[in-house]
Amino acid sequence: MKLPLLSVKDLKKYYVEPPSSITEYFRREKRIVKAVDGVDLTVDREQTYGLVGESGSGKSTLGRTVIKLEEPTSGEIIFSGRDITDLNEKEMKPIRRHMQIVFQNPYSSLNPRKKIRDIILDPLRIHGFEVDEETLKELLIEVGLDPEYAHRYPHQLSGGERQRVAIARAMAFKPEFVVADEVTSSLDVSVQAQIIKLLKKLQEEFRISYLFISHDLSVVLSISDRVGVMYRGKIVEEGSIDAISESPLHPYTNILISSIPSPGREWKPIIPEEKMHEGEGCRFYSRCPMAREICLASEPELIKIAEDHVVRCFLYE
Amino acid sequence: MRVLEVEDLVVEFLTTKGIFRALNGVSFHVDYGEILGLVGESGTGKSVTGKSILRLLPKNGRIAEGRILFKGRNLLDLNEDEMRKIRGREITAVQQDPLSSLNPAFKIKDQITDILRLHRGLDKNKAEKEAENLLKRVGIPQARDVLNKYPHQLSGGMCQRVMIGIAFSCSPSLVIADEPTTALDVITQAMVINLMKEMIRERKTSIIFITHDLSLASHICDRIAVMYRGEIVEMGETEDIVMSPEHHYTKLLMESIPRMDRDIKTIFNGVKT
Repeated sequence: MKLPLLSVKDLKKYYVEPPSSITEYFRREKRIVKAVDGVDLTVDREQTYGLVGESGSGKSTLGRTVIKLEEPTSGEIIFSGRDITDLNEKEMKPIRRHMQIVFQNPYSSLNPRKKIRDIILDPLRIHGFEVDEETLKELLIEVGLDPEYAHRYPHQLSGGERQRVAIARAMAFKPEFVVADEVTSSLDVSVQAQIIKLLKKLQEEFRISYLFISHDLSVVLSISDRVGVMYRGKIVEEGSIDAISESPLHPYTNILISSIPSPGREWKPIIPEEKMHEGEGCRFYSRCPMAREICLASEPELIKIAEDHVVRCFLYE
Repeated sequence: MRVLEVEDLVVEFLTTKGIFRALNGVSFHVDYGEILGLVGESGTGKSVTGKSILRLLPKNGRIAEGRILFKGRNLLDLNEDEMRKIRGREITAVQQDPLSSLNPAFKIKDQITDILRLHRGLDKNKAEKEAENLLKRVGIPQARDVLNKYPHQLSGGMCQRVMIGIAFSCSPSLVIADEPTTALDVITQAMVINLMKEMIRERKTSIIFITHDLSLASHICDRIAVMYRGEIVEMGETEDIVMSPEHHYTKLLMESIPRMDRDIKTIFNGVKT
C-alpha cells in the first residue's frame, strides 16, 4: 500500500476569542474557540478529499492549518512522509512549493496593484526559479486564459477569470497538494462547472491531490473521491463518495443533503430546530432531530459502518 | 391582477468606452402574490432590472426608454419625494450581501425603528416593541439581545433575517430579493427561503426573486424569466422552463447544475472548460 500524501492526526486549532467589551478584556479567563477540535484525516496521492460543512464549522481553519498557514495548537501533520507540525517558517519554505492553496474570493486574493504576469510569476521568483515568458504563456493557456491577459490587472477580469488566475498561480509550482477553499462559492453555477472541470483536468495532468473545501455537498460530490462532513470542529461522517451519496448516515449529513435544491427532485429541506444545550455530549445535540437521552452523556466516537464509511453518532452503536 | 408591469425597459450606462446598454427592451409583469424568478449569469442585467424598478441606478446609469407601471402608476413619472414614499414601504429590497446592506455604525434597533417611524408613523416606544415582534417573526428568539447589537456581531444568516424583517416590516406589495441567499450556506439558505415563503403566504406579497441558481428558482418561483445579455430570452411557468427549456441558453444553465439525482461523477461532461 502506498503511503498517503497527507496524514493528519488529532489536529487541534484553538483561538482566543477577542473580547467584546472592556470588562471582558480585563477578565482573567479568556474564552476559547475550538475551531478544529481533534481531526484525523488522510489524503491519498492523486485523490480528492472533499470537506463539507456549514460556515463556522472549521473547514477553512483546517485547510489553512494542514499547510501550516496557521500554527496548530496540537496534533500531528505528516506530509509526504515528513512530520511538518513543528517546522518553522524557514524550514517550511522548501516544502511550501509542494503545497498550494486557492482561496474563495478571487477579488481579495489577487493583489490589485500587480499585473497578472507578476501575480503568477512572483512566487516562482521568490523560490528561486528561472522564469520566462514561455512558462507564463503555457500556464495561462493551461487554465484556459488568453496569454494576452498577462498584461492586465485583476480588476479587468471577471470573477471566473480571476479564479483561473489564482489557480494558475497555485499550479505554477506543479505542486503535489492543493487546498481548494470554497473556490467556486462566489461564482455563478455555469462558471462553477467550468472551474470544477478545470481542476479535474489539472489533477490528471499534474497528478495533484486536492483538499476540496465547500459548504455545497453537491459540488463536493461532483469532484471528490472521499468525503468528510465537518460539524463544529470535528468530522462527524467520512466515507467514499458512493457511501456518502448513496447511504448518508449522520443526521447532519442528511440535513445537508435535504437542503440542496435540485431540479426534478422535490425540495423539502429539513430545518433543524434549536434546542438549548451547552457542554457535555454530542456537539450536534442542539440541532439534531434524532437526539436521545444518551446523546447528552458523552461525545460519540467514530464508528466503523463499512470498509470505507465511518460515522460519529450513537444511532449506529 | 398585476402589481407590476415593466414595458420595453431600456437602461444605458455611460462608461469610459462609451454608452453601454445593460437592458435592451425588457418586458414582464408580476401578479399579486406571485413569485417571479429572474435567472441568469452575472452581468446579464438581473440586478439592473431590480434597481431600475426601485429607481436606484448608479449615477452613470439612466432609464432611456420604457415604462414601469406599479399598481397602474408609472414610476418613471414620479419625482424623488414621491418615489421615497414608495421605496421602503410599498416596494422594498433584500440585497445579496446582508453585512453591507446594514449600516455598520448603528445598532439593529435603530435601523429597524427608523423605518417604522418614517413609514408607519409609530412613536419611539411603539416602534421598539414592533421591532422586537418583527425579529421574533423572522425566527430570532433572543430578539431583545439582537436589537442592541451591531451588524458585525451577527452572523450572515442572522443579518439576512434582520433584512427580511425590515423588508416586510411595512407590509409591502412588492419585494425585490436580489440573490438573498447567495452568501449563505445551504442550511441557512433553506431557512431564509422558508421564512420568505411564510411571509408571502401571510401577506400576499409579490416577489421578484433574482438569482443565478436555476435549481433554487425552480423550487420557489411561480414563473421564471431567463435573462441573457440584457434581454429576457425565455419566460414561462416554472415547470415548463425546467422540464422543457426551449432556448439554448436555458438548456446550458440547466446542464451546469450539479444534480443529486443523476450519476454525479459525470455531471459536468456537457460543459466545456
